[in-house]
Amino acid sequence: MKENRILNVLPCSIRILLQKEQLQYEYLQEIKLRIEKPLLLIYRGEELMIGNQRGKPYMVTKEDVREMLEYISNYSLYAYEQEMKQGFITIEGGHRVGITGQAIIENGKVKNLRYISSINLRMSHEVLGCADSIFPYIADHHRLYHTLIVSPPRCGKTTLLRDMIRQISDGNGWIRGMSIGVVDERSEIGGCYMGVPQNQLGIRTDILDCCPKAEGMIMLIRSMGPEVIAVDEIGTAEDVHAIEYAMHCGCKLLATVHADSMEELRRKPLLDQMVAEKYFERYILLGNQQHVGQIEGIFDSRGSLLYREEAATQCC
Amino acid sequence: MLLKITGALLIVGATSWGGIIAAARLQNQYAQMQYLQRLIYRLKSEIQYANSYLGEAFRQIGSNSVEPYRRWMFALSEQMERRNGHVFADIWEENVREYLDGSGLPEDTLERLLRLGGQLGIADIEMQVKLLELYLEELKLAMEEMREGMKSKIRLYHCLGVMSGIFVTVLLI
Repeated sequence: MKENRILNVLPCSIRILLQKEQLQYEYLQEIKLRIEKPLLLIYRGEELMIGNQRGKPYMVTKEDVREMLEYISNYSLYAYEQEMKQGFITIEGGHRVGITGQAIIENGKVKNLRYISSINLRMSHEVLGCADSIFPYIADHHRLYHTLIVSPPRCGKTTLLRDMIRQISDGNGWIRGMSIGVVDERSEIGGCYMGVPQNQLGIRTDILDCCPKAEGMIMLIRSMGPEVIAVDEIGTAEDVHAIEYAMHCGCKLLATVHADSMEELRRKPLLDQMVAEKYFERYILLGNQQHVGQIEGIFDSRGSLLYREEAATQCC
Repeated sequence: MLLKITGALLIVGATSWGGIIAAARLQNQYAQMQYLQRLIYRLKSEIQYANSYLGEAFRQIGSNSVEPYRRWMFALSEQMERRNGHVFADIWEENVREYLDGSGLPEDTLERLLRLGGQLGIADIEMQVKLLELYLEELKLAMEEMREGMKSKIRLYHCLGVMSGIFVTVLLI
Protein backbone atom coordinates (compact mmCIF):
# COMPACT_ATOMS: atom_id res chain seq x y z
CA MET A 1 0.00 0.00 0.00
CA LYS A 2 2.68 2.47 1.10
CA GLU A 3 4.94 1.33 -1.74
CA ASN A 4 2.17 1.95 -4.27
CA ARG A 5 1.44 5.41 -2.93
CA ILE A 6 5.07 6.41 -3.23
CA LEU A 7 5.63 4.85 -6.65
CA ASN A 8 2.40 6.36 -7.91
CA VAL A 9 3.73 9.92 -7.73
CA LEU A 10 7.12 9.19 -9.27
CA PRO A 11 7.92 9.65 -12.97
CA CYS A 12 7.71 6.39 -14.96
CA SER A 13 11.48 6.14 -15.53
CA ILE A 14 12.30 6.54 -11.81
CA ARG A 15 9.44 4.22 -10.86
CA ILE A 16 11.03 1.45 -12.96
CA LEU A 17 14.46 2.08 -11.41
CA LEU A 18 13.12 1.88 -7.86
CA GLN A 19 11.16 -1.28 -8.61
CA LYS A 20 14.41 -2.91 -9.79
CA GLU A 21 16.19 -1.90 -6.57
CA GLN A 22 13.74 -3.90 -4.41
CA LEU A 23 13.86 -1.48 -1.51
CA GLN A 24 12.10 -1.93 1.81
CA TYR A 25 9.86 1.10 1.74
CA GLU A 26 9.50 1.39 5.53
CA TYR A 27 13.20 2.39 5.60
CA LEU A 28 12.93 4.88 2.74
CA GLN A 29 12.99 8.40 4.20
CA GLU A 30 13.42 10.78 1.27
CA ILE A 31 13.64 10.87 -2.52
CA LYS A 32 15.35 13.95 -3.98
CA LEU A 33 15.01 15.00 -7.60
CA ARG A 34 17.07 17.93 -8.89
CA ILE A 35 17.16 18.74 -12.62
CA GLU A 36 20.38 17.49 -14.26
CA LYS A 37 21.65 16.11 -10.94
CA PRO A 38 21.79 12.49 -9.75
CA LEU A 39 18.70 10.97 -8.19
CA LEU A 40 19.26 10.73 -4.43
CA LEU A 41 17.52 8.58 -1.86
CA ILE A 42 17.78 8.74 1.93
CA TYR A 43 17.50 5.10 2.89
CA ARG A 44 18.08 3.71 6.39
CA GLY A 45 19.51 7.12 7.33
CA GLU A 46 22.12 7.07 4.55
CA GLU A 47 22.36 8.68 1.15
CA LEU A 48 21.88 6.29 -1.76
CA MET A 49 22.46 7.00 -5.45
CA ILE A 50 20.40 4.93 -7.83
CA GLY A 51 22.15 3.94 -11.05
CA ASN A 52 20.95 3.29 -14.55
CA GLN A 53 21.79 0.19 -16.62
CA ARG A 54 25.35 1.33 -17.38
CA GLY A 55 26.15 1.69 -13.70
CA LYS A 56 26.18 5.49 -13.78
CA PRO A 57 23.92 7.44 -11.43
CA TYR A 58 20.53 8.25 -12.90
CA MET A 59 20.41 11.93 -13.90
CA VAL A 60 17.08 13.61 -13.29
CA THR A 61 15.64 15.39 -16.35
CA LYS A 62 13.36 18.38 -16.75
CA GLU A 63 10.72 15.97 -18.06
CA ASP A 64 10.93 13.86 -14.86
CA VAL A 65 10.25 16.93 -12.71
CA ARG A 66 7.37 18.05 -14.96
CA GLU A 67 5.85 14.56 -14.91
CA MET A 68 6.16 14.28 -11.14
CA LEU A 69 4.56 17.70 -10.66
CA GLU A 70 1.58 16.55 -12.71
CA TYR A 71 1.25 13.40 -10.58
CA ILE A 72 1.59 15.04 -7.16
CA SER A 73 -0.93 17.69 -8.12
CA ASN A 74 -3.29 15.17 -9.76
CA TYR A 75 -2.83 17.10 -13.01
CA SER A 76 -4.38 20.10 -11.24
CA LEU A 77 -1.75 22.55 -10.02
CA TYR A 78 -4.43 25.20 -9.50
CA ALA A 79 -5.91 23.11 -6.67
CA TYR A 80 -2.62 23.33 -4.75
CA GLU A 81 -2.11 27.08 -5.06
CA GLN A 82 -2.10 27.65 -1.28
CA GLU A 83 0.27 24.75 -0.64
CA MET A 84 2.63 25.90 -3.41
CA LYS A 85 2.97 29.23 -1.60
CA GLN A 86 4.30 27.35 1.42
CA GLY A 87 6.68 25.37 -0.77
CA PHE A 88 5.24 21.92 -0.24
CA ILE A 89 2.29 19.72 -1.07
CA THR A 90 1.06 16.89 1.14
CA ILE A 91 0.03 13.85 -0.85
CA GLU A 92 -2.11 10.80 -0.07
CA GLY A 93 -0.65 8.98 2.92
CA GLY A 94 0.62 12.20 4.53
CA HIS A 95 3.92 12.21 2.61
CA ARG A 96 5.30 15.73 2.11
CA VAL A 97 6.58 16.89 -1.26
CA GLY A 98 8.88 19.93 -0.99
CA ILE A 99 9.29 22.07 -4.11
CA THR A 100 11.77 24.76 -5.07
CA GLY A 101 12.04 26.93 -8.13
CA GLN A 102 11.63 30.59 -8.93
CA ALA A 103 9.29 32.43 -6.58
CA ILE A 104 6.61 34.71 -8.02
CA ILE A 105 6.25 37.67 -5.68
CA GLU A 106 3.19 39.85 -5.28
CA ASN A 107 3.01 42.66 -2.71
CA GLY A 108 6.19 41.37 -1.12
CA LYS A 109 4.77 37.89 -0.53
CA VAL A 110 5.29 34.63 -2.37
CA LYS A 111 2.33 34.14 -4.71
CA ASN A 112 3.46 30.94 -6.37
CA LEU A 113 6.47 29.04 -7.71
CA ARG A 114 7.52 28.53 -11.32
CA TYR A 115 10.45 26.90 -13.12
CA ILE A 116 10.41 24.09 -10.56
CA SER A 117 13.92 22.67 -10.35
CA SER A 118 13.92 20.43 -7.27
CA ILE A 119 11.45 18.10 -5.64
CA ASN A 120 11.98 16.40 -2.30
CA LEU A 121 9.60 13.61 -1.32
CA ARG A 122 9.65 13.05 2.46
CA MET A 123 7.95 9.92 3.71
CA SER A 124 5.52 10.02 6.55
CA HIS A 125 6.06 7.18 9.00
CA GLU A 126 3.44 5.70 11.24
CA VAL A 127 5.03 4.05 14.31
CA LEU A 128 2.35 2.38 16.39
CA GLY A 129 3.24 2.32 20.07
CA CYS A 130 5.94 4.99 19.99
CA ALA A 131 4.00 6.99 22.60
CA ASP A 132 3.74 4.08 25.08
CA SER A 133 6.49 5.34 27.39
CA ILE A 134 5.12 8.87 27.83
CA PHE A 135 1.60 8.07 29.01
CA PRO A 136 2.54 7.59 32.71
CA TYR A 137 3.72 11.22 32.65
CA ILE A 138 0.96 12.92 30.68
CA ALA A 139 -2.01 11.26 32.38
CA ASP A 140 -3.01 11.08 36.01
CA HIS A 141 -5.99 9.12 37.32
CA HIS A 142 -7.26 8.77 33.74
CA ARG A 143 -7.07 12.55 33.34
CA LEU A 144 -4.98 13.98 30.52
CA TYR A 145 -2.69 16.96 30.97
CA HIS A 146 -2.44 19.82 28.46
CA THR A 147 0.69 18.66 26.60
CA LEU A 148 3.10 20.40 24.25
CA ILE A 149 5.61 18.42 22.19
CA VAL A 150 8.76 20.48 21.66
CA SER A 151 11.08 19.32 18.92
CA PRO A 152 13.48 20.44 16.19
CA PRO A 153 12.51 19.43 12.62
CA ARG A 154 12.89 15.73 11.68
CA CYS A 155 12.81 14.42 15.25
CA GLY A 156 9.47 12.65 14.96
CA LYS A 157 7.07 15.06 16.66
CA THR A 158 4.22 14.42 14.20
CA THR A 159 4.78 10.66 14.50
CA LEU A 160 4.61 10.90 18.29
CA LEU A 161 1.54 13.16 18.19
CA ARG A 162 -0.20 10.74 15.81
CA ASP A 163 0.35 7.79 18.15
CA MET A 164 -0.74 9.83 21.18
CA ILE A 165 -3.97 10.72 19.34
CA ARG A 166 -4.57 7.06 18.49
CA GLN A 167 -4.01 5.86 22.05
CA ILE A 168 -6.07 8.63 23.67
CA SER A 169 -8.90 7.99 21.22
CA ASP A 170 -8.91 4.22 21.74
CA GLY A 171 -7.98 4.37 25.42
CA ASN A 172 -5.18 2.42 27.13
CA GLY A 173 -4.09 1.41 30.64
CA TRP A 174 -3.39 5.02 31.57
CA ILE A 175 -6.32 6.79 30.06
CA ARG A 176 -9.93 6.02 29.11
CA GLY A 177 -10.93 6.50 25.48
CA MET A 178 -11.71 10.16 24.85
CA SER A 179 -13.31 11.94 21.92
CA ILE A 180 -10.58 13.86 20.18
CA GLY A 181 -10.71 16.51 17.48
CA VAL A 182 -7.73 16.89 15.17
CA VAL A 183 -7.07 19.97 13.04
CA ASP A 184 -4.75 18.69 10.33
CA GLU A 185 -3.77 21.82 8.42
CA ARG A 186 -1.15 20.09 6.25
CA SER A 187 -2.71 16.62 6.09
CA GLU A 188 0.33 15.19 7.86
CA ILE A 189 -1.28 13.74 10.96
CA GLY A 190 -4.07 11.73 9.35
CA GLY A 191 -2.73 11.60 5.79
CA CYS A 192 -6.31 12.05 4.63
CA TYR A 193 -7.46 11.00 1.20
CA MET A 194 -10.76 12.60 0.25
CA GLY A 195 -11.37 13.47 3.89
CA VAL A 196 -10.77 9.97 5.28
CA PRO A 197 -7.61 9.47 7.40
CA GLN A 198 -5.26 6.86 5.98
CA ASN A 199 -3.28 6.62 9.23
CA GLN A 200 -4.65 5.05 12.37
CA LEU A 201 -6.06 7.78 14.59
CA GLY A 202 -8.42 5.78 16.82
CA ILE A 203 -12.13 5.19 17.05
CA ARG A 204 -13.15 8.46 18.73
CA THR A 205 -11.29 10.84 16.43
CA ASP A 206 -12.84 13.55 14.27
CA ILE A 207 -10.50 15.15 11.80
CA LEU A 208 -10.69 18.49 10.01
CA ASP A 209 -8.40 18.13 7.02
CA CYS A 210 -6.57 21.04 5.31
CA CYS A 211 -8.17 23.52 7.68
CA PRO A 212 -6.32 26.47 9.26
CA LYS A 213 -5.57 25.57 12.88
CA ALA A 214 -7.13 28.54 14.67
CA GLU A 215 -10.38 28.41 12.69
CA GLY A 216 -10.47 24.61 12.86
CA MET A 217 -10.13 24.45 16.65
CA ILE A 218 -13.11 26.77 17.11
CA MET A 219 -15.15 24.89 14.50
CA LEU A 220 -14.45 21.58 16.27
CA ILE A 221 -15.44 22.94 19.68
CA ARG A 222 -18.73 24.24 18.28
CA SER A 223 -19.58 21.28 16.12
CA MET A 224 -18.14 18.11 17.68
CA GLY A 225 -17.66 18.90 21.39
CA PRO A 226 -14.28 17.15 21.68
CA GLU A 227 -12.69 16.36 25.05
CA VAL A 228 -9.23 16.73 23.52
CA ILE A 229 -7.99 18.86 20.63
CA ALA A 230 -4.76 18.05 18.77
CA VAL A 231 -2.86 20.35 16.43
CA ASP A 232 0.56 20.26 14.78
CA GLU A 233 3.16 23.06 14.59
CA ILE A 234 1.58 25.97 16.41
CA GLY A 235 3.21 29.39 16.21
CA THR A 236 0.99 32.24 15.07
CA ALA A 237 -0.96 34.67 17.25
CA GLU A 238 -4.23 33.20 15.95
CA ASP A 239 -3.11 29.70 17.02
CA VAL A 240 -2.27 30.93 20.52
CA HIS A 241 -5.64 32.67 20.90
CA ALA A 242 -7.51 29.62 19.68
CA ILE A 243 -5.58 27.41 22.14
CA GLU A 244 -6.51 29.74 25.00
CA TYR A 245 -10.14 29.64 23.87
CA ALA A 246 -10.11 25.83 23.65
CA MET A 247 -8.57 25.52 27.11
CA HIS A 248 -11.21 27.82 28.57
CA CYS A 249 -13.87 25.64 26.96
CA GLY A 250 -12.65 22.68 28.98
CA CYS A 251 -10.83 20.86 26.19
CA LYS A 252 -7.45 19.26 26.78
CA LEU A 253 -4.81 20.38 24.32
CA LEU A 254 -2.17 18.34 22.51
CA ALA A 255 0.13 20.43 20.32
CA THR A 256 3.59 20.45 18.79
CA VAL A 257 6.03 23.28 18.26
CA HIS A 258 9.46 23.70 16.65
CA ALA A 259 12.21 24.42 19.19
CA ASP A 260 15.60 22.89 20.05
CA SER A 261 15.24 23.14 23.80
CA MET A 262 13.05 24.44 26.60
CA GLU A 263 15.21 27.57 26.72
CA GLU A 264 14.52 28.27 23.07
CA LEU A 265 10.81 27.72 23.66
CA ARG A 266 10.87 30.30 26.47
CA ARG A 267 12.47 32.78 24.07
CA LYS A 268 9.89 32.30 21.33
CA PRO A 269 7.54 35.24 20.86
CA LEU A 270 3.93 34.46 21.79
CA LEU A 271 4.81 31.06 23.20
CA ASP A 272 6.98 32.51 25.98
CA GLN A 273 3.85 33.94 27.56
CA MET A 274 2.05 30.61 27.37
CA VAL A 275 4.99 28.93 29.12
CA ALA A 276 5.21 31.66 31.76
CA GLU A 277 1.49 31.49 32.46
CA LYS A 278 1.67 27.69 32.65
CA TYR A 279 -0.96 26.97 30.05
CA PHE A 280 0.62 23.61 29.30
CA GLU A 281 1.02 21.16 32.15
CA ARG A 282 3.49 18.85 30.39
CA TYR A 283 6.27 19.43 27.84
CA ILE A 284 7.80 16.57 25.87
CA LEU A 285 11.19 17.50 24.44
CA LEU A 286 12.35 15.37 21.50
CA GLY A 287 15.79 15.00 19.96
CA ASN A 288 17.69 12.76 17.57
CA GLN A 289 21.09 12.34 19.19
CA GLN A 290 20.81 8.57 19.67
CA HIS A 291 17.87 7.99 17.38
CA VAL A 292 15.01 9.91 15.81
CA GLY A 293 12.24 10.47 18.33
CA GLN A 294 14.46 10.23 21.39
CA ILE A 295 12.70 11.67 24.44
CA GLU A 296 15.18 14.13 25.88
CA GLY A 297 12.87 15.07 28.67
CA ILE A 298 9.33 15.32 29.95
CA PHE A 299 8.84 18.45 32.04
CA ASP A 300 5.98 19.74 34.15
CA SER A 301 4.59 23.27 33.94
CA ARG A 302 7.32 24.60 36.29
CA GLY A 303 10.03 23.06 34.13
CA SER A 304 10.95 20.23 36.50
CA LEU A 305 12.25 17.15 34.74
CA LEU A 306 9.95 14.15 35.18
CA TYR A 307 11.50 11.67 32.77
CA ARG A 308 14.46 11.32 30.41
CA GLU A 309 14.97 8.45 28.00
CA GLU A 310 18.08 6.53 28.96
CA ALA A 311 18.13 3.37 26.89
CA ALA A 312 18.49 3.72 23.14
CA THR A 313 15.06 2.33 22.28
CA GLN A 314 13.95 2.91 18.72
CA CYS A 315 10.96 5.16 18.46
CA CYS A 316 10.59 6.46 14.93
CA MET B 1 -50.10 3.62 -63.64
CA LEU B 2 -50.50 2.29 -60.12
CA LEU B 3 -46.88 1.19 -60.26
CA LYS B 4 -45.79 4.69 -61.31
CA ILE B 5 -47.77 6.32 -58.51
CA THR B 6 -46.35 3.88 -55.96
CA GLY B 7 -42.81 4.53 -57.27
CA ALA B 8 -43.30 8.30 -57.14
CA LEU B 9 -44.66 8.10 -53.59
CA LEU B 10 -41.73 5.96 -52.51
CA ILE B 11 -39.19 8.39 -54.01
CA VAL B 12 -40.86 11.46 -52.47
CA GLY B 13 -41.20 9.61 -49.15
CA ALA B 14 -37.52 8.62 -49.13
CA THR B 15 -36.19 12.06 -49.97
CA SER B 16 -38.57 13.69 -47.47
CA TRP B 17 -37.30 11.25 -44.83
CA GLY B 18 -33.75 12.31 -45.75
CA GLY B 19 -34.76 15.94 -45.21
CA ILE B 20 -36.28 15.11 -41.83
CA ILE B 21 -33.13 13.26 -40.76
CA ALA B 22 -30.89 16.18 -41.82
CA ALA B 23 -33.08 18.58 -39.82
CA ALA B 24 -33.06 16.26 -36.80
CA ARG B 25 -29.24 16.03 -37.00
CA LEU B 26 -29.06 19.81 -36.85
CA GLN B 27 -31.37 19.88 -33.83
CA ASN B 28 -29.32 17.17 -32.16
CA GLN B 29 -26.11 19.17 -32.73
CA TYR B 30 -27.67 22.08 -30.89
CA ALA B 31 -28.88 19.84 -28.06
CA GLN B 32 -25.39 18.30 -27.70
CA MET B 33 -23.81 21.74 -27.54
CA GLN B 34 -26.29 22.71 -24.85
CA TYR B 35 -25.41 19.59 -22.85
CA LEU B 36 -21.68 20.25 -23.24
CA GLN B 37 -22.26 23.80 -22.03
CA ARG B 38 -23.95 22.41 -18.92
CA LEU B 39 -21.01 20.04 -18.27
CA ILE B 40 -18.45 22.83 -18.59
CA TYR B 41 -20.50 24.98 -16.20
CA ARG B 42 -20.39 22.12 -13.72
CA LEU B 43 -16.65 21.72 -14.21
CA LYS B 44 -16.18 25.43 -13.56
CA SER B 45 -18.25 25.21 -10.40
CA GLU B 46 -16.32 22.12 -9.16
CA ILE B 47 -13.04 23.99 -9.64
CA GLN B 48 -14.20 27.34 -8.32
CA TYR B 49 -16.25 26.34 -5.29
CA ALA B 50 -15.13 22.83 -4.31
CA ASN B 51 -11.47 23.31 -5.33
CA SER B 52 -11.68 19.78 -6.75
CA TYR B 53 -8.81 18.46 -8.77
CA LEU B 54 -9.64 17.46 -12.33
CA GLY B 55 -9.92 13.68 -11.84
CA GLU B 56 -12.26 14.15 -8.89
CA ALA B 57 -14.36 16.72 -10.79
CA PHE B 58 -14.67 14.43 -13.83
CA ARG B 59 -15.79 11.55 -11.62
CA GLN B 60 -18.39 13.73 -9.92
CA ILE B 61 -19.75 15.15 -13.16
CA GLY B 62 -19.65 11.80 -14.95
CA SER B 63 -21.66 10.08 -12.22
CA ASN B 64 -24.80 11.98 -13.22
CA SER B 65 -24.27 12.63 -16.90
CA VAL B 66 -25.77 10.87 -19.90
CA GLU B 67 -23.87 8.77 -22.44
CA PRO B 68 -21.40 9.29 -24.13
CA TYR B 69 -20.35 12.05 -21.72
CA ARG B 70 -20.53 9.70 -18.75
CA ARG B 71 -18.05 7.24 -20.31
CA TRP B 72 -15.87 10.15 -21.45
CA MET B 73 -15.64 11.64 -17.96
CA PHE B 74 -14.99 8.29 -16.26
CA ALA B 75 -12.36 7.36 -18.84
CA LEU B 76 -10.57 10.68 -18.26
CA SER B 77 -10.58 10.16 -14.52
CA GLU B 78 -9.38 6.55 -14.78
CA GLN B 79 -6.58 7.35 -17.19
CA MET B 80 -5.38 10.16 -14.94
CA GLU B 81 -5.30 7.72 -12.01
CA ARG B 82 -3.11 5.33 -14.03
CA ARG B 83 -0.31 7.90 -14.34
CA ASN B 84 1.42 6.25 -17.24
CA GLY B 85 3.58 9.11 -18.38
CA HIS B 86 1.11 11.03 -20.52
CA VAL B 87 0.63 14.77 -20.13
CA PHE B 88 -2.92 15.92 -19.43
CA ALA B 89 -3.41 17.50 -22.88
CA ASP B 90 -2.71 14.10 -24.52
CA ILE B 91 -5.11 12.25 -22.20
CA TRP B 92 -7.79 14.84 -22.93
CA GLU B 93 -7.29 14.73 -26.70
CA GLU B 94 -7.26 10.93 -26.83
CA ASN B 95 -10.51 10.68 -24.87
CA VAL B 96 -12.33 13.48 -26.70
CA ARG B 97 -11.55 11.74 -29.99
CA GLU B 98 -12.51 8.31 -28.68
CA TYR B 99 -15.78 9.17 -26.96
CA LEU B 100 -17.10 12.39 -28.50
CA ASP B 101 -16.33 11.99 -32.19
CA GLY B 102 -19.69 10.34 -32.85
CA SER B 103 -21.61 12.30 -30.24
CA GLY B 104 -23.18 14.70 -32.73
CA LEU B 105 -21.15 17.75 -31.67
CA PRO B 106 -20.19 19.96 -34.64
CA GLU B 107 -16.58 19.69 -35.84
CA ASP B 108 -15.61 23.25 -34.83
CA THR B 109 -16.98 22.69 -31.30
CA LEU B 110 -14.90 19.51 -31.02
CA GLU B 111 -11.80 21.41 -32.18
CA ARG B 112 -12.36 24.08 -29.54
CA LEU B 113 -12.90 21.38 -26.92
CA LEU B 114 -9.61 19.75 -27.90
CA ARG B 115 -7.79 23.06 -27.48
CA LEU B 116 -9.34 23.52 -24.03
CA GLY B 117 -7.49 20.41 -22.80
CA GLY B 118 -4.13 22.10 -23.26
CA GLN B 119 -5.16 24.84 -20.85
CA LEU B 120 -6.61 22.76 -18.02
CA GLY B 121 -4.75 21.83 -14.87
CA ILE B 122 -2.20 24.61 -15.04
CA ALA B 123 -1.99 28.09 -13.46
CA ASP B 124 -4.09 29.31 -10.55
CA ILE B 125 -7.80 28.93 -9.87
CA GLU B 126 -8.62 32.43 -11.10
CA MET B 127 -6.93 31.81 -14.44
CA GLN B 128 -8.49 28.36 -14.71
CA VAL B 129 -11.98 29.76 -14.14
CA LYS B 130 -11.38 32.56 -16.64
CA LEU B 131 -10.24 30.07 -19.28
CA LEU B 132 -13.42 28.05 -18.76
CA GLU B 133 -15.50 31.22 -18.93
CA LEU B 134 -13.82 32.13 -22.20
CA TYR B 135 -14.57 28.69 -23.59
CA LEU B 136 -18.20 28.99 -22.45
CA GLU B 137 -18.46 32.40 -24.10
CA GLU B 138 -17.18 30.96 -27.40
CA LEU B 139 -19.59 28.06 -27.10
CA LYS B 140 -22.46 30.43 -26.39
CA LEU B 141 -21.64 32.48 -29.49
CA ALA B 142 -21.46 29.36 -31.64
CA MET B 143 -24.83 28.23 -30.26
CA GLU B 144 -26.40 31.63 -30.92
CA GLU B 145 -25.10 31.56 -34.46
CA MET B 146 -26.54 28.11 -34.94
CA ARG B 147 -29.88 29.00 -33.38
CA GLU B 148 -30.28 32.05 -35.62
CA GLY B 149 -30.09 30.01 -38.81
CA MET B 150 -31.62 26.86 -37.39
CA LYS B 151 -35.32 27.53 -38.06
CA SER B 152 -34.78 28.48 -41.69
CA LYS B 153 -32.37 25.59 -42.19
CA ILE B 154 -34.83 23.08 -40.77
CA ARG B 155 -37.54 24.42 -43.09
CA LEU B 156 -35.08 24.31 -45.97
CA TYR B 157 -34.14 20.66 -45.27
CA HIS B 158 -37.82 19.68 -45.14
CA CYS B 159 -38.61 21.53 -48.39
CA LEU B 160 -35.51 20.22 -50.13
CA GLY B 161 -36.43 16.69 -49.12
CA VAL B 162 -39.91 16.90 -50.62
CA MET B 163 -38.89 19.00 -53.64
CA SER B 164 -35.95 16.79 -54.60
CA GLY B 165 -38.29 13.80 -54.46
CA ILE B 166 -40.76 15.51 -56.80
CA PHE B 167 -37.93 16.57 -59.09
CA VAL B 168 -36.55 13.04 -59.37
CA THR B 169 -40.07 11.70 -59.94
CA VAL B 170 -40.71 14.20 -62.76
CA LEU B 171 -37.38 13.30 -64.34
CA LEU B 172 -38.17 9.60 -64.23
CA ILE B 173 -41.69 10.00 -65.59
